[in-house]
This record gives sequence, structure tokens and C-alpha cells, in this order.
Amino acid sequence: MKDKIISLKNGDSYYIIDEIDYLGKKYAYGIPCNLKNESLNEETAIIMELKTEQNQIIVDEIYDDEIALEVLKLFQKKFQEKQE
Amino acid sequence: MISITYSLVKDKLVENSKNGVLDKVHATGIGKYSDEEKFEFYKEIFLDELNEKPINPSELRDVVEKIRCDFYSEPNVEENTYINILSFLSTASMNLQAQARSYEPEESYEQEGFYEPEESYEPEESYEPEGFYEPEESYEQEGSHEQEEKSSQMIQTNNKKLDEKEIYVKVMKKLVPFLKYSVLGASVGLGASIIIPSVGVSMLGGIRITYSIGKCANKIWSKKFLKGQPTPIDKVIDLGKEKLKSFAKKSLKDSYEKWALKAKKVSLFLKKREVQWFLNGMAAGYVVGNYYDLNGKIFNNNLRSSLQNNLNSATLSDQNSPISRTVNDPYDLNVERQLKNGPSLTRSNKLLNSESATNIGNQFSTDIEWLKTGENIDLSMVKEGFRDSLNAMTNKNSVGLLTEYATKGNGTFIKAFKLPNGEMFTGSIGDLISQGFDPSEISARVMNQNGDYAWLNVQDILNAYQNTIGKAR
Repeated sequence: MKDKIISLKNGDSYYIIDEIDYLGKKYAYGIPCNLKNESLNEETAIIMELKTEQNQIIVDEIYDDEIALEVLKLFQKKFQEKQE
Repeated sequence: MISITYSLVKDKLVENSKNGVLDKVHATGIGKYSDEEKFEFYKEIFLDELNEKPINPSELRDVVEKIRCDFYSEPNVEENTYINILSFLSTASMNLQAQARSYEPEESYEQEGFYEPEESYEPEESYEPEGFYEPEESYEQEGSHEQEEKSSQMIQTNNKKLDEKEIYVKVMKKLVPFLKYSVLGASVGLGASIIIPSVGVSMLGGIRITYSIGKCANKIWSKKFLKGQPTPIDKVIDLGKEKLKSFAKKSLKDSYEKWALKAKKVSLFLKKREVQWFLNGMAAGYVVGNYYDLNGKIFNNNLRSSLQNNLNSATLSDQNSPISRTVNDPYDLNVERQLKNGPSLTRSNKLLNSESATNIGNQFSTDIEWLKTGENIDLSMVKEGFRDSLNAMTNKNSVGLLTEYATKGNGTFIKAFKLPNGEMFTGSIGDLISQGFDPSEISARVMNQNGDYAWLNVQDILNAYQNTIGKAR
């Protein structure tokens, strides 16, 4: 998924900046994008959970705030490493 | 560096008085000591115990529990010690702030919004008195020589005092802004413990983080972007490197740098000392509030006073009853009367309930063999319950939610207490009192993971539990 654009069935699209695995689950860091205008909403970032159900990849919200923060920290660490 | 400030505080202010203050506090209680001594003690707690490590609610709970044990082991401890801690911190921070201002009025350090800590803090070089002026040998008398030496020693002493005060004020100027946030957080946490007494520490973590992300980022979302509905991916578009470059040319430049900055912004906000102080204080206030509610003396007093009327009215109304006159009152210290009346098993229901409720605060026991804390019970058979007033405002269908969760067998936990007279009591006693329920009417409280809870008849709970056990076997 990394460096790819996912288009959801509800019409939303996200450009996936990166992915990580945490506690056996996969999380993605994406930003909303508009495929028609080929533009990205850089002001907003989304941390989402990716999972599979019935041979489909499902995007879900992270309902546990503590996990969300941990995931965010991991992304930050990864980004900083890449930046360096 | 902040660590310099930190070490200065510890070296100059804490370590010097640590043992003495602690010994005094443990010996006779905190209330009899000067504000300065109290402040040293509390500052040490907040600095060393709370602010040194990242926030961990469970650790924080242990810390506050330790503090609580310390204070409650004191025979002369003030009744409202925890409230005093918070109010004292608030007052002390204001006083110290005023003191610092009066010392250097031309320099204002009050900031709007969050105080931006300096990258480095390097205290000015401490005053090093120059070498004594050694007068040349003269024909002056010895007496005048001694007098001059004394005067130079006085100058040295005064300068040293001034220097210490200067360092103290400088340290306080760094400390007080953070302390304000701690006190503010503690107040918020204490308030939260009163408003939402039933949520656990894990819920507190949620509150903290929601606050943090919402406050600082407000543009990084981990929920609500799908409106709670997991959505399948329709297609994955791989633009390829070339296409991606053209796509990114419009707005996505140096993506990693940008996203790292965005994530860093959140992380930096959370790492800021004032935020940590605020969150630490909030967590501490919350936990203290809960402990205070459950274990404090005020709780017991409220319990007794709220039930005293029932007890009195029951006794008065039964005065003409021959049965009530032979009641063996456990609080009656008259041994002869106790022996004369002997054990009595016939009591009015109202009095029985009042007495058992009065005993709740002091003599409840969690040692129950067949009903354990944390048991999952199928409560689907319990159709009706009593919603409490607080929950009814936010959730009109708490009983339904409860039944749903209980049926699934997850998330329902029960605390069970056994009264001295053998009656079973489930739920949180503190909430029972804070919500103002009459224990004789409603005697069970059940809560699910979401914090939705309902009051149920205790016999229904027991029946449901036996039913669940029967199915399991």
C-alpha cells in the first residue's frame, strides 16, 4: 500500500505515506487526496487500521486512543529515521 | 538545558531539605509545617515521581497510592489532606510567582498560552567572592584589623545569601509556570473524578490522549473519518514512480520531511513540559479524587450523615414496639444491656437496612467464594433496572446497552461485597452514595466497558449468576 493511493467504496481516497505493524495489526498513515484534481489535502493526516475480511481489505478507524497515539509515535519515529 | 534546571531544583532546594522535611511530615503530619517546607515536600513528589517519567496511568496510580498510604498512616493527618495539596500548590505557585516578580520587576516572564521552555537554561555564574583584601602590615592595632575582617565576612555572607536567593528565584521562575499547569491539570482531574467517578484509569488515558491530539494537531485523525463504519477498499492505484512524481509535483514535496514534521509537531506538543505537567496533574487529580472518594474520611462521614436520618426515624418509629426494645444494638457499648437483651434476630426491615448500609463503609469484604470480581454474567434475563440520574442524561438506554453487553458475555464486571449480616452487595459503594440512592431499594450496580451502567436488584444478579454457572456446567 505504501506510496499508493487507495480508493474506498465510500468515495474517499487516501495517499498512503507509510505502513507499520503494531501488536499484530497493520496501520497506515495516509492523507486525503482528490483523484480528479490530482491534489492532496496536506493539512490533514489520517491514521487508519488495515485488515482483511472476506477477501477484502478493510479500512477501519482506530477506536482505542492509546493505540492511536502509540501508532502515531511509531510513524513519527519512522519518518524521522527516513529524514535522517 | 532543562536538566540543569531540574538538577538545580533537586540540588539546591529538594535534597537539602528532603530528609528533614520527610521525617517531620511522617512524624506529625503535614499540616503543622511552614508553607516553604510543605512546598518542598510536594514539589519533590511532583518533580520526582510524576514528571520524571512518561505518563503511565498505572504507575501514576501506584504513586498516588503510595502518597495516600503515607498520609493515611499518619495519626494526625488532616481530614482533607488531598484537597489541601491541590489548594496549597495553587497558592504556593501564586505566591512564588509574586515573589519572583517583586524581585525582578523589570523582567516579565508571563506568557500567553503555553510557555515555551527555553532550549537551554544556564544559570549565571555564581557569586565567587574575590579574595580577601589582605591589608599590608601596618601599625594599626589588632582590634581594628579584626573588625575589618568581620565586616568583610559579613559582606561575604550577605552576598552569599543574595546569591542563593537569586538562584532560588531563577529556579522558581522556571518552575512556577509548569507548576501552574500541574495545578490546573490537577483541578481538572479532580473535577473529572467527581463528574465521572465511574470510569477507570484506562478511560482517563483516553481522555488525556483525546485532549492531546485534539488540542495540538486537530488535523490528524484516527477516528471519525469513516463515521464509525469500516469501509472496504475499492481499488488500489499504483501511480508508478514517474506518475507519482508528476502527481506529487503539485503539492507533495519532500513528503517524508513534511509528514515527519507533522508527526513531530504532535509529538513535540506532547513532550512539552507544561503539557506533561498538565496531564500529569490531571491524572493525579483524577486518581486522588477517586481514592479520596473511595477511601477518604469525608466519604464515611457523608455515608453516616446520609443514613443517620433513616436510622433515627426507624428507631423512633419502633420505640413503642416491644421487639425494637430488645434489639441488640451493636453500637451500644453498655455491656450489661447487651447481655440482658441477648442476641436478637428480629428487627425491623428498615432498621436492618440502615444498619447494614452504615456498615458498608467500614466493614465490607470482597472475600466471597462464589461471586468474584470480574465475573462475566449473562444478564439477559434481567430485563429491568434503575438508571441513575447522571447516566440518564447522556444515555437514555443504558439498561438496554447493559443487557446487550452482558448477553455477549464481554465487558460486564461486577464487584461484590458481603455485609456482616450476610447480605450481598454488588457495585461501587462510592457511586451509591454519590448518586444519592437508597440502599434499601436499589442494591446492585453493573457497568459495562463503555461506562454505561444500571442499578439492578441484587437478587436478580445472583439468580443470573447461578443461571450462568448452571449453563456453563
